[in-house]
Amino acid sequence: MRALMFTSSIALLALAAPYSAVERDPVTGDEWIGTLGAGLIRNSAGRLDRFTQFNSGLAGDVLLDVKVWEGRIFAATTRGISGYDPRTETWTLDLPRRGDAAPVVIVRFLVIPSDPPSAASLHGCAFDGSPFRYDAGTDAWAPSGDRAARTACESTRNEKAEVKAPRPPERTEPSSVTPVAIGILIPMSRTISVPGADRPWPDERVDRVAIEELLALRTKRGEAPIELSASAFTYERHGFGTPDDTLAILASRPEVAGVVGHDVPYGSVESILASRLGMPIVDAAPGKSVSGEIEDPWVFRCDRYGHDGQAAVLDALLADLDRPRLAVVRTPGGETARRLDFWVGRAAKRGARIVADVIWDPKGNDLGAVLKKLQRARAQGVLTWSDAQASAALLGGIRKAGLRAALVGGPAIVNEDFARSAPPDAGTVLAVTPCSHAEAGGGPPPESLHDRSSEAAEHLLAAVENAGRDREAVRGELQRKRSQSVARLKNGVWGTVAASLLIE
Amino acid sequence: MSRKLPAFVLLLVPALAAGSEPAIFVGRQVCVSCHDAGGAAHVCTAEAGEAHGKSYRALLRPEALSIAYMTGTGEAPRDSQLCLGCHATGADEGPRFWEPTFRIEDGVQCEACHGPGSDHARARRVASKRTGETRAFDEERLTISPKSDLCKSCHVPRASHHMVLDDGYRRPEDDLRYKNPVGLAVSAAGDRLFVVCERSGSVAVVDTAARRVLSEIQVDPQPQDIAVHPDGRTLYVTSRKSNTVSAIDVASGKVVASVPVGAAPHGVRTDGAGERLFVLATGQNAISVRNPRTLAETARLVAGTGPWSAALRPDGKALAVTNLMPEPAPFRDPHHSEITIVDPRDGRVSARVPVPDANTLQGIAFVPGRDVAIFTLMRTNDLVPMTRLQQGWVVTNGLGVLWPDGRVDQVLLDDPADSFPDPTGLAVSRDGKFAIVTSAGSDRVAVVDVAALLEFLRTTPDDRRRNDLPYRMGTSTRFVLKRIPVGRNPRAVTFSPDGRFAYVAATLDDAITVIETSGFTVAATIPLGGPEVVTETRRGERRFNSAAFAFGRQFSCRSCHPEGNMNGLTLDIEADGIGLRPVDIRSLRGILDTPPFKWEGTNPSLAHQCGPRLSVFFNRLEPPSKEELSALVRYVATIERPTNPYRSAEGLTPAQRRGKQVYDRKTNNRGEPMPPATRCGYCHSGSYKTSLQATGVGSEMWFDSEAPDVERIDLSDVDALGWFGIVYFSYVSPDPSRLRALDNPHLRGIWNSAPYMHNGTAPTLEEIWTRFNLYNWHGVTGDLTRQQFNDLIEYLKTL
Repeated sequence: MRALMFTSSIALLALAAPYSAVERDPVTGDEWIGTLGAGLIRNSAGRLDRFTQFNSGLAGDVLLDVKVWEGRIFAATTRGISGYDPRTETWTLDLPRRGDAAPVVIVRFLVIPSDPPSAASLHGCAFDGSPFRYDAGTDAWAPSGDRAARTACESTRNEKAEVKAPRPPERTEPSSVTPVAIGILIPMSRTISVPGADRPWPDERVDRVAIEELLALRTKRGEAPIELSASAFTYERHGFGTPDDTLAILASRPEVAGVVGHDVPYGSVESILASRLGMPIVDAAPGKSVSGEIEDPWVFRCDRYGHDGQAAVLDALLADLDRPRLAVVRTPGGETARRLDFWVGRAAKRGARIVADVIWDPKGNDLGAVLKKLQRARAQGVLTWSDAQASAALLGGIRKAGLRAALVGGPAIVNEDFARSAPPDAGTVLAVTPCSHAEAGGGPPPESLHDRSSEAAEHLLAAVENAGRDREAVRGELQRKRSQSVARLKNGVWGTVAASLLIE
Repeated sequence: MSRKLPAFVLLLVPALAAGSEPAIFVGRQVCVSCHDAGGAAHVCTAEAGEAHGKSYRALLRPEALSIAYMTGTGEAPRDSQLCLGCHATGADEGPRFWEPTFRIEDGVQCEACHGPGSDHARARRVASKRTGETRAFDEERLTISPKSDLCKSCHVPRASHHMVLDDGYRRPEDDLRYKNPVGLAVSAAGDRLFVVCERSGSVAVVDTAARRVLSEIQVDPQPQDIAVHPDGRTLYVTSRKSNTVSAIDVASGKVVASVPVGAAPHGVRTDGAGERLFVLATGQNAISVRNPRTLAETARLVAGTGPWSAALRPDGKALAVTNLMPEPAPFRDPHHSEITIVDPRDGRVSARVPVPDANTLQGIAFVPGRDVAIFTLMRTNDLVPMTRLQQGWVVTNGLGVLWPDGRVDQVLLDDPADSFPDPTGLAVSRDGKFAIVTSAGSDRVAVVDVAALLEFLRTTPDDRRRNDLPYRMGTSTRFVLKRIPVGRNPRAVTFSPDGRFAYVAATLDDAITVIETSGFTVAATIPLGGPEVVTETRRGERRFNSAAFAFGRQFSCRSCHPEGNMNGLTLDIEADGIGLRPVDIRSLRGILDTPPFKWEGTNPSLAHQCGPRLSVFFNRLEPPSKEELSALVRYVATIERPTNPYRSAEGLTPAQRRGKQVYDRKTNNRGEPMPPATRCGYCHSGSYKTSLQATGVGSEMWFDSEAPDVERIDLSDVDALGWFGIVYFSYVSPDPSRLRALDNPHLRGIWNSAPYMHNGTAPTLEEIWTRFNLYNWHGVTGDLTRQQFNDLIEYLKTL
């Protein structure tokens, strides 16, 4: 009898994802397929069972290698090594690391043969070429001193991943559209429409500006619009799916020529993927520097602002206040509330006391009542995170009421709208804004925003246009721009921002 | 205060030195060494302490057996996690986390409320020399109000306890002596019939010539299926309760080996050469390939969902396995079931055949000489509201035919006015002429003319075979020769090697019905020796398994709850509005103490659930009499849970213990306190892991109608909620009043009750949170790390 069925259409679709490894279990004959972005697939006589980070204990959906070892299945994901025992149906998770350093990503498994064969050992190669050995006794991965493993791992260092695309991209391009696409990495959920894209885009924070800039630039140059590739939603939470997975999915699609992203948590992962897949990635705004990334010219970061900078402002605010008493002003909106809660938690950790927690609906037009509550609570500072218009109105009011406020917001908030609506002296408010805003002494910020997004777009366009033609040139260009950015970061831009705002 | 600690506390200290490990249980003696009546900080009232101390001993009283029987725990009360959960301390964690000073016999001890005390005892030991201050306890647990939810998690009325302690119900010992034959095998010579008796846990050896029981071999509890090794010297029996397969030496009638095989095994077969033994680990969707001599596992194959019975093709080149449950399908999408084909020669799965729209595949047999397999199936029309009962279109029953090329045909055994409910056992005669199918729900068997059936299919146009026959009632006149009444609830059937007789196991009559195949008449009934008396539970069991009460005899309780569990489907019962609230069919195992019933929690007791309400929608006839209802409820209460394969006798593994800590946590990963209502144990509390309340977790869909009344939270009430509570309910759960409250399900046996959520939309435990808890309404899980989340799942699987 022939195997005819696919038990899950979702699993079948997942086969269209590029895969990194196929491993056959010698005992059961089952095939284990590691995909870049679609999890681990078991093909048992045509039955496709898909294990993902959502429906199983698998650490991440981006698998760099798979190995069947002594009845267990090991998956090297970008979020650690997952081990699955089909007999007990249990998953284990290991994050190999050297000493106290951050966990490393294992990119490839190796079996080091031995005499007798039963003493063969399972190794994993980290991206930097160092070997880790699996110890079945402790069920853990530890740095290995095995010479053979070291040699084998070294030889594959920086080797491009052998990514197999089972289905070549089938596209018939209208002549007005360039045959490339930009992947956009967006953390979560709401939907807005973007001019030039033929469908609504999920948007959250910053990327809309970058996308619009990108499109505007091409239009200005008289070029055909770029077709925007799809971006998978991500879950902004630990463990269940993060932007790096989405990034990897985008980056591994053959039709995607570049990726623009924001706030990618695992810098080393994007670095690995970018390099292994030969894919330029522009990260719009995280302001984080990750060790090892500097050498990698394929990832570009704008280095303008981000959590670190925002945290610096908050810390400065708290340090400035004696026994800080903070008030929280919430405005309706899911994601803004989520972010604000993060900052409230952060402030609490630094010893701030939350003396008032006020909910304000700008549509209700009851700003006066809100301010009264803040004054009554004798708040020394106010934390809020809102949209541009509401923020502007609120900050103006707070200023008049003689309170200090930390507006924790990026360009989705501090933008043209904000500038239009904010009172002239809004600069006295503590606000996290892009560098040039601060350097200009707290003036209206729109210019800097354009600077930032245009810069990102320019880099990306340069990379895209050169993709497939002269990679080395693109590499060099990105390297140069990147080192400029790094230099800016090193010059302590953020110290300036915080100080200039506080001195006022 | 300086106080000399008893010697055993000093001995304890080195053992407690490992600081990073979670605290473990030290036992009451260690606690009272400081906190006795004369000492400081003794706040527990002596009365409460004493009563709590007796709780374990209560499990040794004879009444406890009856209570345990009514809870379906299936274990002695002193071994049952369900009982120990409220009658003892530290049972969930298990002996691995007990100090030598800890004695479970001390019942509900200090640590039951205050948490494991090893850290506190160690801190105390160190601190007493200096400051006398110790704070190794979680502050929240230092003072327990008698009205706290912690107390209420156990101190709730339990129907099982009320039934026994107040109403004087006692377990009828006859209940345990029934036989319940469910599996049959005949020796090669045909002189012996081996009958697997599920209830009595034995294999009865029947002399087929004398038609009487020769001997009875005790095996592991709840035996299910039996296979004879080709050499005729060994029998293999699976046992559901003990999760084992046993080998029996035929000559001596002794069990020679018994090994664990995976959860709730059902079917067992050998290959033709007797070199491989295939055991179906039904509860874990696996086929365990074993060495028939040593019973050691050589491979574990992936089956469909709930592998049930296996049949070997006469040429030995294929083993076909039916699967009881359909494969997981997207919400309200058509389902299919799988026939798994194993190649016995290399012990690997060679093919999988989908059987569209079918479920509850059970008996299977090959037709000798034709390489065609026939199997039983049900077609539950789960995608339409159950408004079509009168037309006979809710559950239909039939046969599947698997051709050598992998094609599957489906035909119905139902006639428009007379269904053939619960087709269960199936056998084909050695000459391939006849098949006998049992209808467990209507106490009959049908004799199928195999050649006529195959010819009927072959001559039917392709389109009709696919789109008409699976739905068409009445076609069975083309191939069913005869329907023969047999004993109650026939579940297994087999032919004698010479083909002259067929033996049918009448499960709820404790008898074998012998059918003479020359004229297909009942030749004899062989009693297996069960009690003559019919207890109330037995009456209930018969009613549960009989379709007699349903309109047109279409289905029994068992049709949707095979083996008291569930069939993995989602049904739209029209009682609550057509097209509204399709709900996941829930397991009936051990549910008496988990009221209210139904997902909406509208039925306060099992009698409400099984009584008039059900009769209105299911049988359209008169409701059951009071006696019938009482018997049915008694029986449903006793339906046992399977043994949990994820939990060992030593208690939790380190990963499972970590998971329990996540379950019990009171602060999130940022160190912020979690309001009680956001913790797992608030709604899933006590021994059953349910507070017996209803809660909204945001799982409702637009067609789940409005909740009648949901408590609204006053966001300005700072005193009641605290600042964090206000933040929580403003942000994490912006409008909890809009959430539709649904019954907090108990979590016992959750490892075996997929799919999850009230409408079965989560195929795996993980997806309950990764897909359906975006807003932290179903407990705060958004901050969990991957490791914590995996640990939590590991713990839940032990319940």
